[in-house]
Amino acid sequence: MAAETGTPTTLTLKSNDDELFSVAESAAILSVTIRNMVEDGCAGGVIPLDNVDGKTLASVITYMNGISAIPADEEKKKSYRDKFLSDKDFETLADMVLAANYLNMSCLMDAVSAKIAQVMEKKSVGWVRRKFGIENDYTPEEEAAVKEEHKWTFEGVETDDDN
Amino acid sequence: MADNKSHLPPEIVEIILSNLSVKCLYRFKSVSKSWNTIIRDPVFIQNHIQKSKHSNSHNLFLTRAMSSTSSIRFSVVEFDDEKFQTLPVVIEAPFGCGLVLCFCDGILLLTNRSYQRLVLWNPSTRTAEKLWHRNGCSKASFGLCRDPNTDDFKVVVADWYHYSVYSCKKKSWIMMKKEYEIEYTGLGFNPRSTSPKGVCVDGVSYWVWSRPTTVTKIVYYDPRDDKFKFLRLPENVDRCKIIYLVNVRGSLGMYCNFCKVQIWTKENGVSSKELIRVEYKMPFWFSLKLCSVRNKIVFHENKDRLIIYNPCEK
Repeated sequence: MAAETGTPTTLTLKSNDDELFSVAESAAILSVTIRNMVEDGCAGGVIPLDNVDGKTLASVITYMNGISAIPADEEKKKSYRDKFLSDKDFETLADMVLAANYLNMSCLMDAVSAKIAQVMEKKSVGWVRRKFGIENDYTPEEEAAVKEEHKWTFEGVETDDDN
Repeated sequence: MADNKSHLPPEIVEIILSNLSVKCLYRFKSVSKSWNTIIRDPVFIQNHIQKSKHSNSHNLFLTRAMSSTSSIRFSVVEFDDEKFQTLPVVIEAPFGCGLVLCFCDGILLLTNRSYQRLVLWNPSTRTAEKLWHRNGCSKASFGLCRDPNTDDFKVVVADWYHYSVYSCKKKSWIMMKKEYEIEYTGLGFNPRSTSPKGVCVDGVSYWVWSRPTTVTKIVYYDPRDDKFKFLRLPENVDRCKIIYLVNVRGSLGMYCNFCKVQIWTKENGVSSKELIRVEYKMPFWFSLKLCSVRNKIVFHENKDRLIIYNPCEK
């Protein structure tokens, strides 16, 4: 292990837009995908991550470094995650959930999907369609019927004009 | 705007949706047919229920709201930062039934003064189901339980000399027995106070059965084999004392608070019949009510005073 040799092992990760990042192996192996590569001995050179762009990867690495610096204290880790995600917008969060899924990082995956849900909680149906890129495949009659069935759930929804 | 679109694959959408509240999920059934399909899926619903149970959000309470009109309403109270806060949500009681008999996994059994008209109510989905009992049951004890094998909710009405069980799956009263199979239970007509309310833990309904002249016992109804059984009390409990039952983070808890508070909890699974004492004694001289919120135990000491105890910190 790195600690025994005295010099921490560093990995080089490559995003799909060809940006290179250095990260300590001990932090990077939070990703099961990367850990498997390291264990299989494929981590000697540059590790290409074809599904993650540079901007998202930079963010994920910030998270990896931040969370692995915290000792085993679930409360502190949680507050770090909350703070880390607090200023991210929906698009960034969506990119991160995809990256966390691809990198197989369950702690980040859980935190980001919970954060996205928190953002969605008071949003309108129209907002969700726009942000998730979903086409409304209901006929106007069908849609009205579904809405009528759960009328009370439309109370307290934010108005639609924000981003 | 087109660039803003994120095309998340359905399996990730499902993970995100599993974090949403029921209210929000019902609203988002209108997003598209495929979202409606995800949200209605029984497996998704089961996962959502399990997730809610294990999340640390057991801090919402229903309380009867003061209302100027004749309708009966409930408001939602949140317990956070060691105090209660009323949320801006008011829910009307279904079918005019505002007396809470008991509750289990977010489902409430309600009635009105007749004790004949019973309503099963899920406030999270705002759905309710009426069931009429043949008799008025004002002196009966009520319990709600859930059979984990069939996922069937059962309503138990235990009266003095007979009891009846309603199955939600079958939508009918499945049992009307004149006699109890174990030694005379007689949960109904409890002279000490009003009849004991059933406490639902892990799908089983428990009652404290006590008589002034005899000993206190804990009776439970097991929905798996539809039988009443007794639970043995811990060794060193003063058997004449009034005991209370409570659901402590998914385990059965028992407490008595005469001069000192003692709490016992039972390990899960009906097979373990021993109550295991896990707590301590505290010198209180008040009558306390108790419930558990997140990992803490909250004592409600009449009116406004609360005492919060964190078992991890002592």
